Amino acid sequence: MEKLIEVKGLKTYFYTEDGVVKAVDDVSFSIEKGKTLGIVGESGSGKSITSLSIMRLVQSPPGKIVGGEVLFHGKDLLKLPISEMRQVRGNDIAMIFQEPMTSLNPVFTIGRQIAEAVILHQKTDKKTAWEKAVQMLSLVGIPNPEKRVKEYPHQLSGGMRQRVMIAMALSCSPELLICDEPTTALDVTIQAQILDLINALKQETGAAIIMITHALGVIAEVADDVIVMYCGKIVEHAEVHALFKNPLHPYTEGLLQSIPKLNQSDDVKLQSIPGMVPKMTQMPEGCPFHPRCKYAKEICTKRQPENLEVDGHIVRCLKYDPECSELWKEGAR
Amino acid sequence: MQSKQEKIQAAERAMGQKSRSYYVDALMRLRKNRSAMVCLFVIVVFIIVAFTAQWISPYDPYEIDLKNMLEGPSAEHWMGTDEYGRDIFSRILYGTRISLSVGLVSQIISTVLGVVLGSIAGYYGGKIDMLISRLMEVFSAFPDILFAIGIMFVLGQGILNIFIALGILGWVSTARLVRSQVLQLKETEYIAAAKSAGATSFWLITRHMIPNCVSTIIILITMGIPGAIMSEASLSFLGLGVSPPTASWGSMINTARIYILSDPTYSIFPGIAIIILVLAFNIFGDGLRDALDPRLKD
Repeated sequence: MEKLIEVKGLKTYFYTEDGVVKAVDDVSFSIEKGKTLGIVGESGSGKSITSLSIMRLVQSPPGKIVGGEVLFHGKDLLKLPISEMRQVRGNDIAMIFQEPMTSLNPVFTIGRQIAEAVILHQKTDKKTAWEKAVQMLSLVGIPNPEKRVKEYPHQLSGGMRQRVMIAMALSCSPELLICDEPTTALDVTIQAQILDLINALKQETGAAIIMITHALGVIAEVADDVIVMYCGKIVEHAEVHALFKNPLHPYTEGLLQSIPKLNQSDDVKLQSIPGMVPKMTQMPEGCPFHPRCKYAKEICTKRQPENLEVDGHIVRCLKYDPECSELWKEGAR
Repeated sequence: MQSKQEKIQAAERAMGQKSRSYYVDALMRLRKNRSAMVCLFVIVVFIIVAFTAQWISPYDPYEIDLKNMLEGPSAEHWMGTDEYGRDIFSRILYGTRISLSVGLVSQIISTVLGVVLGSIAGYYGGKIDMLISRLMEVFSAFPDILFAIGIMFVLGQGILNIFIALGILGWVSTARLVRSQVLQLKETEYIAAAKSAGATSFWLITRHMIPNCVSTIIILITMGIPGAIMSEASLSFLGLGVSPPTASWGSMINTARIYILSDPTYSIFPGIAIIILVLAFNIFGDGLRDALDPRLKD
């Protein structure tokens, strides 16, 4: 399959008063047409900044993309002049945000907002754009679209607004849709509806999707491939079934163990990952996860792990480094 | 048994679901505010007077009648006559034109300046913001009326120069408010969403930010008009405003000052006109603010 987008060694740093924050540090991945890539991680792990970097929407200053390539159909988006980049935004790559309550402009009707997104990219008159808006609303399952199109955002519920956002994002038939925690702000039944909708629209339009979330349940529902991020780095990259069945990185393992399971007996305690995400300005030496890792050895405090390929996963952990693997075999601290 | 359609309509009526824009909502609230509506009526009366002054005024305001100088109110001259025997009532009616046009035009100038500079400063930030913000501070460092006097000295007398002086004076507060609103709006998700849809900076400012500031701008204009009217009256009182013989309330009070002991009504009537108009604008502005302020909504 042809690679739609390929991110190579992306680095986005923030230059703050407390020092340089490596929000995205050497992130590489690629997505094929019609596939869904899930990005999971805690708050501040760099997943949103990764997506904003692809769109080149990182606030600058203090943020700056300092290295890497984002190849979309083979051309580097990071090198495009800003006017061409604007044509890519919305038209080729569209984005859905976390907060449907605030992602719509309160002073305009939703129809006008969708129509404007259409007018921005396609040279159509207002009437055609308005018809397109009605059509998009019915596509995302909003009942009575001819009437709803004239309503203001405050008249819609959160789930409805997220549907409007999806309609707006898909109005120019983008090839890649970036969903930045699209279901976080919604309640569970609406979450399922929105995920079903995104899945159905993916089938219909053939768009590739980047699904950013901190909920592994969402990933299981929609993703083909999964990236687990921690402190701006990819710690594990695997196919979705392989990741859930056989998590290799201790962090992934911890994340999976912290989800309650239906078939668990009552006396088994739910596991959690001890400690907190380190401050981005005070990164620990060596592996950034070692202070919280139950397998950590002395070597982890000194040496940065590299990307390793193990059982079809890409994993960043010294446990799997052939040079250090004896340390864990002996079981000695 | 109701049909399904009727039931839906009834339910929608009950929920008040009928699509109503924010400004229609605000208008409904404004209409409930009785004092604001009375003031609006007063303002409308003044506007009508300004447009029809040449037909409704009983005398020519420039007609000199030296036989009837400085007379008190009488049946012929309702508010008396001035030092040249001109009818004060007619002159007040004509003065409405000056006051209203100064209030309106100077506010248009200062609003355009303030919105453009304020939104540019807020949106682009950095050095541009620094430059415009310092400029605002320089402007606000001068006492208002002194600054206007200075400009009038440089430009000379005349109604056009009053427009310019008061317009330049007023932009700072508009710019400050628009800038701070744009700074807030810049961080909202719908701006991020519009950016991710490929919107240009110009599009974002004109289509998203300024429409979001409109209610603030409307309030600023209605609150700014009485200020400008007062400033014009002050400048004319100081002899720097409209040049005689044009009738202006401020210059009428200025000349009446000399005769305040012998003919007190001469200065009182233009003063009352100023008070009524400024008060009407202020109370109406308050009502408009209450109606447009989204925090009072729901």
